[in-house]
Amino acid sequence: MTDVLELEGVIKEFGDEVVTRVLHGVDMRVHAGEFAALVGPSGSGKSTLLNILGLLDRPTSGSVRVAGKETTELTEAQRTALRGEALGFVFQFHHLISALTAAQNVMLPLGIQVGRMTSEQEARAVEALGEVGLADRAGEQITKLSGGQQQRVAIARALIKRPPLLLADEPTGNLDTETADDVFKMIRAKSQESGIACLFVTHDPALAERCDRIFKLVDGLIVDVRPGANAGS
Amino acid sequence: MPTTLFLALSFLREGRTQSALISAAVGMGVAVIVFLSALIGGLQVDLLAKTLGTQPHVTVSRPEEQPRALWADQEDGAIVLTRLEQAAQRQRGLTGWQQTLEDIERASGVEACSPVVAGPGFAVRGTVSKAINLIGIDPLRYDKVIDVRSRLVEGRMVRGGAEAAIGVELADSLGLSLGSKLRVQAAGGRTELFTVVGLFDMGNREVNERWVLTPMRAGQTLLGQVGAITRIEVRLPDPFEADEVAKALSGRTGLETESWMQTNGQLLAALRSQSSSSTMIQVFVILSVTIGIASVLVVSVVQKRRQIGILRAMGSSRGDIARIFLFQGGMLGVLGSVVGVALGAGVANLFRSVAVDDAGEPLFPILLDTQLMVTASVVAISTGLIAALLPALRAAQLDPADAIRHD
Ligand SMILES: Nc1ncnc2c1ncn2[C@@H]1O[C@H](COP(=O)(O)OP(=O)(O)OP(=O)(O)O)[C@@H](O)[C@H]1O
Ligand SMILES: [Mg+2]
Repeated sequence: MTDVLELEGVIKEFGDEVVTRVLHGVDMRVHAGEFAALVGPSGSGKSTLLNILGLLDRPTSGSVRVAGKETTELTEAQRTALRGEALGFVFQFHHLISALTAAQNVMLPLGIQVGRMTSEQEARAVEALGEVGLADRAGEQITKLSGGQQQRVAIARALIKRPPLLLADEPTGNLDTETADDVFKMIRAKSQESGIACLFVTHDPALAERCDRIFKLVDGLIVDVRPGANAGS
Repeated sequence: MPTTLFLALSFLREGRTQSALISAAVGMGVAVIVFLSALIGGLQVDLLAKTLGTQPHVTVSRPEEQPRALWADQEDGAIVLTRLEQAAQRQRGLTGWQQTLEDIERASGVEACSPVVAGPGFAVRGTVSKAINLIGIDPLRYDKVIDVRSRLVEGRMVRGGAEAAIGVELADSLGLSLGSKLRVQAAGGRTELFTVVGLFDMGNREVNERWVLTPMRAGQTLLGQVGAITRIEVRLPDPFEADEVAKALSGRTGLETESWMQTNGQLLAALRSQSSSSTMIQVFVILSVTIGIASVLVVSVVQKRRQIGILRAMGSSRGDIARIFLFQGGMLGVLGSVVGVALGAGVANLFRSVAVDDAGEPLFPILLDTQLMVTASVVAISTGLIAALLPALRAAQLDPADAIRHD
């Protein structure tokens, strides 16, 4: 099986004078189409790790391969291009563009890629919103939607380009149990349907057990990798 | 539509209260610039027209004869100046001037030139006599240097023979009208009887009281300068080149030249200081508009930190992010210039219709041309872009991982 993500010896330190090492040499691989959970106590470095493999941040040392491409030597512009091509993001807070409607938010990755906003993109966005159950809210301003609806718009946006890898940093962390369950199911279904691999950060052990594999990060090291107990449910 | 422009417009629309307020502020700045420039420009054009309406840009004449010094030897060997003897009262005229005239006409930066014979005299009617300035002209050439023809209130320009065109004030004080006879006595004692064929109003009391225009031949005879002229008057396409052209002409002809800029030093200094204080006001207006736009955009960058982060995560380059904010600055400039040009033109027109004299003529000439409005708009838009530079750079330099983090 090919790997969409390969990390080797990733170390991350913060600070110039007082250096704190947050990641102590992380090795991990995520297979194409796989749905993996990343768990660990608060402050263990999950978000730091996700930012690095999302090419939003650079590791202090170690190698990061995304979609088969070694990224540590890439220029800023090349990293930006790869990010746009190969990666989708969902965060704990939706990070939607408040000035835009739901459909405009969803079409944005397409618009950024080609440099123009077109009506064809908008049609695709409306369709994608339909698939996450928001067909009738496409023209709505983001601020008028509920938290769960906003997160579903963010999911539609992250998947519109069908990237090989979706990075989800606690997308359910801010939602009540029921809504969290909905959102999780939606991400799971959508990525399975399109063959998109996902790395899903969560504090909820029950959700983690429903993933194909679980990576456990403690103090900046992967201490355990095992299959989810309820994978596929 | 380009994605960056689309986002810029969406951001402006989202913060519409701020956008409207800052556009209004930019608009007021532009209005001040438009109004001030229109007023000052109008005043200056008017003053210049009044000044240059009765003056040639450059005058070419024979060098004045130097005063002669009389020296005496003292007993102790020192030499003392006992007396300065002025040159003879009557200037000797320019003879053989036709060659010089042609020469000047061919010189670069010269639009027209005209020979003039002039001297003091008296206009006499009955028992009344008035001091006048007798000016003998070549009617065909003179108009191209000093436009009397269009300022005629009655009659026509002189053509030949014993005809005279005089100012309205002189006509008033001597009770002259078209067709009246006017006796002119020159300083040398010669007299001549002229027929008044034209009355002019040059917009200058002194000129209207003193000028008596006659054909060249009659003037030369009266002033005892047969065949000679007093000076050549020159008009330039650009009056502000008078100093340089005067210098060039003096080198070319070997004669003495004087530019209107030399004779009107005070007026020029006043115009210049007026212009520079107006420029200074405009610079401060532009500065405060710039700071206003910049501060609104800086706040917007801070507020939108996370959204900028996610745009970067979705593949927007630093350049894209910078452009989004530059577009916003540019658009604020565009909105502001639309508001400002309308407001400025409105105020200028209002001023023009309110500040009038008894006859309903505007007190202040206001020069409101499209070029001014275009310039003001260009200034406003560039101001917007420049003001957006700093916020745009800040936005582009945000570290995406930092920007997205919640803390
Ligand atoms: N830019 C930074 N500069 C300095 N320290 C940082 C920076 N980013 C993260 N850290 C530190 O790195 C450690 C790991 O943070 P991180 O956000 O990755 O943890 P996390 O596992 O995502 O925690 P949580 O579950 O609470 O989200 C923390 O101690 C944090 O203070
Ligand atoms: Mg985190």
